[in-house]
Amino acid sequence: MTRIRLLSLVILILPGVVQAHHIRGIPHYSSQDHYPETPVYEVDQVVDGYDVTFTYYEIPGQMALDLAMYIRDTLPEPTPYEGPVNFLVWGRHEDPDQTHPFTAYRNATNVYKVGWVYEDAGAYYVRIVFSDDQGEHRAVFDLSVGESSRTWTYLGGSVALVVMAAAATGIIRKKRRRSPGTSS
Amino acid sequence: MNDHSCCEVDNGVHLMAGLPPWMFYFGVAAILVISFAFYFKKESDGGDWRLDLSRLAPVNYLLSRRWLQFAVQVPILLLFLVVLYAGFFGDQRINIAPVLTWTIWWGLLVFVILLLGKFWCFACPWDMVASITSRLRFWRVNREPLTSGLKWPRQARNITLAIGLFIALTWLELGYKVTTSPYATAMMGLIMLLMVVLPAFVFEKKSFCRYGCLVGRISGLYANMAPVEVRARDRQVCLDCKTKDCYVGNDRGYACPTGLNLGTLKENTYCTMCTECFKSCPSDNVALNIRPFASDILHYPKPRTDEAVLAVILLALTAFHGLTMTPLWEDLTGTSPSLIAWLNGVFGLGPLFSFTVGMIAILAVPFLLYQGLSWLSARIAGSGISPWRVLVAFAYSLIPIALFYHLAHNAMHVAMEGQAILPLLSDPFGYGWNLFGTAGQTYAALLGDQTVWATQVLLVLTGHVIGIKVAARAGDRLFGRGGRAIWAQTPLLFAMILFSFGSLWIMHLDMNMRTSLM
Repeated sequence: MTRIRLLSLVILILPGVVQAHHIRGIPHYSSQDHYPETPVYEVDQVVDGYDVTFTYYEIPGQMALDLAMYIRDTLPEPTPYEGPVNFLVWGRHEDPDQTHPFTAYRNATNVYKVGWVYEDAGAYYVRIVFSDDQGEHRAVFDLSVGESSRTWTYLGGSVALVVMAAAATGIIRKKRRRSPGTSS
Repeated sequence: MNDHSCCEVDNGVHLMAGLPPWMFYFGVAAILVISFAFYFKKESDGGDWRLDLSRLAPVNYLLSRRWLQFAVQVPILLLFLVVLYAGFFGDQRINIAPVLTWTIWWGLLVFVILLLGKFWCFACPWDMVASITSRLRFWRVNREPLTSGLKWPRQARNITLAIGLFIALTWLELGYKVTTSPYATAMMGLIMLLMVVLPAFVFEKKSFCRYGCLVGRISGLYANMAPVEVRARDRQVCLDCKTKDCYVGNDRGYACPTGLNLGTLKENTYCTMCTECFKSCPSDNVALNIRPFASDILHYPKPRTDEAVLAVILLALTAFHGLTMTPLWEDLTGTSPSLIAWLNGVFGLGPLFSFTVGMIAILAVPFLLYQGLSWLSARIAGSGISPWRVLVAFAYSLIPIALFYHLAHNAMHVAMEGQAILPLLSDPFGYGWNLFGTAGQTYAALLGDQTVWATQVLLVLTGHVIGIKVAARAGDRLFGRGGRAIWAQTPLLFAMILFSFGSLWIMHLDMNMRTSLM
């Protein structure tokens, strides 16, 4: 009975796992630029009648990302935005006013793309600004990059700390038990 | 699915509109009416009933089983391990750790406290690890646990440490934006685990739970509002008891981890609902009662300075929490002036410094205001009562205001952002899995904005009503009734009205919605 249950669980899960390969972006608005690499992160934001899709790709071996954006209006048959887009990326503890913006222009596939190099892993904001006849439009996205190389140090250190505390407590307890016997 | 009814964005920054003006003004008017209607109304002491659930055979059976707590803690521990793994080893761009921790756990925790009291302490995964490592048993009693058994330092036998940790957590959480970072979330979980496990080797019982655990102490004050309690069935039986098994433990159950004596237990603040007393009591004299809401807070037996300070800080920090999520505090689009930008301009020392200065100021303002009004109240009373005594007695009336603002704030997060957990269940570590077919999908918010706003206003009003009742009773005890006593209480009534207005005012501001940001 248990085997049957387990088997049905596997059957339920398998199609999901197989399908998972395609979840993050195929068909994706800019997958042709990076094919077969698919974007791992993609978010949408509706700003003043524009649908902004933001994604980013890792550049292997470098502390750098390709930030990509697709902007189209929200009409039933959307038209891509054509003008330039201003990008500003700043860390969670940086002052955005102290950061230099850069401008991106639409490429042949209607995608705005900029390369961005970072020095530290961590959390960042991306602010984009674009304009049309109605004025200026802004959107802000979250960005998390990099991994800490100290994970195992922290985890190992924590386990070591607990083991040492347990050992020290054991020794103290033994000594305490012996002392009344010695004195008597 | 794929329905963006109230929140257009899954991530990034987008605004959730605050309360509409008519709802805000309705709330303000209702607070004024309620304040005077309830404050000067004679209270009857009726309705102080109890329903002892442990008289029911199945409940009694479960409560007397040693494995019960272990069985409840195991799934919670597994979820905690998922958070640690996702935070440390999952994809840092998006995984389940922040949403599960800050939107689901932290968001719902306040609701759990309101309904089930200290149930979280009973289910606490950190406590489980501490218990297993120091007791060296999964659930059986070990009369010789692995601990030095030292007494908690006498000078620190208050909740100052917990208050300090609470302020530090808020600073880390909001200043370092821990709530949006999987890695930082896992790191905080690990630190919390060590803070609970290591003292268990050094100090007797669960001293850290009693004096240092910020979650336990905050939930302790809030749990005085809960309709659940563990109490002696017959206090006389406890007074006649010579062995005090609940306090010292025996072969069937551990000593109360927070050092409580069932015979003198009159409030929920320090009870962790661990159910050890159900096992150790030789007279079967322990009850798990259902009772009216806010029973303890209305009859708080012994106001304490440290608890009163925590109550004021709770109110200030919960309001601060809400304020930091509004564009008034920080405008990421850079289109309108904000407090952080202004502080940046004044000090020029960066956002983190500005945040710290802002936090200190916002913590200090309610505290100083309350202190000033307590002084005024004592002056008007003119009966030799010190301002500090007034503050301590009345501070408990702020707990319902803080709790219900907290509930109102979290209701918005859970209702508007809680659905973010669904896609993450299919891909908890950000590895590109789709276990349940929900990955990559977007889901509508659980409730519409109108429902959330109405719920928020109702919650703030409920907190205000209970707060007013608590203050009225505190006033009666301290000043008596009538004449000068009424005038003496007026400044503190004014403070409560001001704080409740403040709650509504923060909720009427638009709010930066960031998935998992609590």
